[in-house]
Amino acid sequence: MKLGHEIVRVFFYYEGAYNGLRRMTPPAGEDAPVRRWSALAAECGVDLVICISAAQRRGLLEGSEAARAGQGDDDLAQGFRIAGLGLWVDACLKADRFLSFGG
Amino acid sequence: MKNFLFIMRSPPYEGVRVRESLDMLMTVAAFEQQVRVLFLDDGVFALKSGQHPQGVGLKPVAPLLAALDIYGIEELWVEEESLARRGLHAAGLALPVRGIRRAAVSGMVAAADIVVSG
Repeated sequence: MKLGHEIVRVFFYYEGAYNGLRRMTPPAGEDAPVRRWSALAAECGVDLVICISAAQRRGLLEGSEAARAGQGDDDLAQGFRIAGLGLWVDACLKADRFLSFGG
Repeated sequence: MKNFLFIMRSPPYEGVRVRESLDMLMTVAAFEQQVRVLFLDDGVFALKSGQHPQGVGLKPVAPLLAALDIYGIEELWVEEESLARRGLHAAGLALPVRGIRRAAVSGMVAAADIVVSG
């Protein structure tokens, strides 16, 4: 981004959905990547989207979905939102490149 | 329109990987983009006929693959060396797929706008 590139969206899929877990609590001295993602969203306005079906399969529920499922969870960290795979395709069609990390 | 290539390398019943990849490629097809699927390495096991995972409470994958043409996904490819190394033959597969030699795979990847490791 410092070089002037634009990031259309970061889409979290497969096990990547876990990146948005608000209560990530690593041992002392170890970094919690979720806070760095939240900072990226807050400071640079990057759109962080977790796939809804990937999230629900793994028990990651945003507050209003959890309420609908009769659960009290609110697992999503600041700066993330939950949406469908269509937003991933939309980003692929808008961007000149698709980069995938972690398989 | 963009050309998407999904490279399926994971075995069919290891977690939800294959199912999630299928969700992805059907979504791409719903946007009327061109989709090719290449089965490579252990991903070729998804194509094998005679899968009965119901006994351990899993849904068979092959019928899902066979239904992909309903979504306009007709280009299913399998790397011939991956099949041979696992003792599989085109005749023993659950659905018709096109064979591609390993030497030609890099050309297929280069021809795609977007490559997804499925």
